[in-house]
Amino acid sequence: MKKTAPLVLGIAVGLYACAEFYIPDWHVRWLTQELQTWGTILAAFAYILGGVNLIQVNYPKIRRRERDWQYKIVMVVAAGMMLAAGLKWHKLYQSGEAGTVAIADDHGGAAAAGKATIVIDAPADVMVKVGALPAQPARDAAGKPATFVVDAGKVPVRVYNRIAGYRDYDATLEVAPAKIATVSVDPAMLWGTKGRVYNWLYDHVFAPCNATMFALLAFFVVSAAFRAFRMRNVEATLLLGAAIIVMLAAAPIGAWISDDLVDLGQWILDIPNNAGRRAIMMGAAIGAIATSLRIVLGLERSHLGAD
Amino acid sequence: MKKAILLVLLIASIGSGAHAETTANQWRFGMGMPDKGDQQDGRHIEIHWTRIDNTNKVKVAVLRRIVHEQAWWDHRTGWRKAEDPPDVGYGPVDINSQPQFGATFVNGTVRLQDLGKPIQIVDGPVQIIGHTFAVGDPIGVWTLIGMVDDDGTQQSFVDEVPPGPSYVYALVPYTPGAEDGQMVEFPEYAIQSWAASPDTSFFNLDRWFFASLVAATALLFLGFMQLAKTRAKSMFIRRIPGVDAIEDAIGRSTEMGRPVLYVTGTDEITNIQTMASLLILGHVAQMTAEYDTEIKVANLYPLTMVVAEEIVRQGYSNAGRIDAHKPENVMFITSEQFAYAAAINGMIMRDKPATNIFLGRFFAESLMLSETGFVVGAVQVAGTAEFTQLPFFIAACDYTLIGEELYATSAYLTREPNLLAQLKAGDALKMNIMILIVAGVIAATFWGFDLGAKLMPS
Repeated sequence: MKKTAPLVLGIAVGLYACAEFYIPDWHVRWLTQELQTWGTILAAFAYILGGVNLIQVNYPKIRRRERDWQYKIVMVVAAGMMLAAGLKWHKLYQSGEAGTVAIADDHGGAAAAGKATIVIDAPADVMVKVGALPAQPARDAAGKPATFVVDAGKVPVRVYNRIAGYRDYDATLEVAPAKIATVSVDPAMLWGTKGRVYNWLYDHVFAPCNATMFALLAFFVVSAAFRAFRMRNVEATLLLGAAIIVMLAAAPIGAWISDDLVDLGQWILDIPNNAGRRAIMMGAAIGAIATSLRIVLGLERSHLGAD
Repeated sequence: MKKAILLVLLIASIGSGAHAETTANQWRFGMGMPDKGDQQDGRHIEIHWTRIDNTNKVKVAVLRRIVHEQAWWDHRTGWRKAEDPPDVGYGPVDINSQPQFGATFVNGTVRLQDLGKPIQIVDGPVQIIGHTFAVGDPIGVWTLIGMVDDDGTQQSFVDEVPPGPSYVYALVPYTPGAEDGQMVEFPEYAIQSWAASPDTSFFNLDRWFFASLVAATALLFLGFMQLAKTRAKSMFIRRIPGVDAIEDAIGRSTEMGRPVLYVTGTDEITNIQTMASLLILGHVAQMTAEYDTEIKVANLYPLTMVVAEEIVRQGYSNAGRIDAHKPENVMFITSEQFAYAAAINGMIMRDKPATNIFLGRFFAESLMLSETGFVVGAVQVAGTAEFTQLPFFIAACDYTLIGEELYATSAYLTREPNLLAQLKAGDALKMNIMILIVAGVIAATFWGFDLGAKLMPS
């Protein structure tokens, strides 16, 4: 039973997935999207299991002080930190509007011209965008708040921190002529995946590490190319020859040597390379169809696990 | 059009005295299910038309309105009654006295007997002249869904609509202004369609070739399965050195007392390459259990990890060594590509596995993994259908399963006649495709006939 139920479900869903590709009716598409949503929910649950597995694998190694156990501590602590930073803690203490608006009578020159005035009272490191006017700092060099004279009516106002991870003030004010609207905003720090801490960790720790790993690829390519291009046999010699021509054709020196070399390089890419690529793709596509059929028809069951 | 399409020739007479500027117009108009198979989904309506007299250089505004054939809720006015679908109509859009579109235009007062009468505008003032419209703008009860250059040739327009209600379309020729979307004059008669609902098709005919490929594979598969029952020994399957090497490599690991590292690729379990990798993992796990060698399985996604853990357990169970199974050796590492690569590289450098098996879908990390494996002297077997990564694996690994070999491996390892039939079916299908390719080349070379476009229109 432990295998039969998943097998039957697998066959049913597999046959449906195959059939839905050929049925254009929107009801079928809707059902497919629903099933995909279920899949996403299942995958989300699997992340909990993944987190448990992470602890199960690493904690014993730390406890037993296995080789490089210190790195395991770094990994577990880093995972915990990202989890903590990814939760929306600000929901616990932040509520209400991101800013307040006070309206008063204006007796200045703007009022005489039938215009309204908007004053932004916010910290200096905050940017302000009012209507179609360009964004500017909330305070000038002398520390005076940004002031805008606008036509009366609905005016969009956005106050935001230059750095991501803070709460924006984004509202449309309705201002009457000869009125002065003072918007007081102090963008609060957010938590969660759009929050300051998460973004900082991502931008200043994860992204550089990621870029470093990617950059290492260049050295791996050199090392692998050195071995691959050795003239061990006829095939390797052909590979070396083709590689030299393609590399020269792609570099400025290729055109300097001869335009024919550039054409030859392009020909190698377009004709023999493309033919081989398509042959691999076609073979892989047929293999994929056959493998899918094996699974859908229930002939392959090893993925269903133990009884 | 796949289904019957009503074709209407709307003939408008010369305009009345009040509209002397209006010229005689003839329209040929049709409406129905779109030609494209994936748009025959009950959410698309195709309209097409030809303005036979195209003396005036105009654009045509395509308008749509919904017809509520049941009582419906309007958030402004509350419940409203069901409507009768308006009649087919046509007439000039009166821009001189009332520069508006309105309800009579849409409610069917313009009928064949109203020939030549101007369309009266009574509902909801909408400034038209000089106003600039964009697709999606409401114009009275209509919604502007397109502005099409009309040179007198047949024009077509596919509209996506919510399924269920009926829709009426209006085609309004206008003289465009300097600004994009600006309407400055309506020199010709507008026409209004009958009410129609989007229709649906049961089968996407554009994909018949794909369906026939799958059907052919299934038929060949079943045919070879029958054949395998009686003549299994005579079925020749070519050797795949990379697969044969797996058992040797596991034996080497046993002799050296080092683990086997198995990487399931860097894609979700929904990818067929990952599935193929997991199917092979079962056989590899069984072998390692029989050889009493440790296997470590690295996964990029937790769902893959969960399935891989079950598969490895099954492999150990099949070998009668369930007690030797260590669940913690099947690991979820991280869902980040390069962090995953760094972690596996760390494992390779620390544990120095004697065998690395990289099967599944790989991207830029393929070379990082295989080069690190080379550094520690591991026997490496890789396999992927990702052709951009194949050169890296070929350069850095001892054996590489190329494309279809990845899918064939599981069947090859079982040696079960039923599964071997899959390989034979694949080979037979490839032969047929080769014949098709040659036929296509000949047809294109000698007759300029594009067979590919016929077989796969979309």
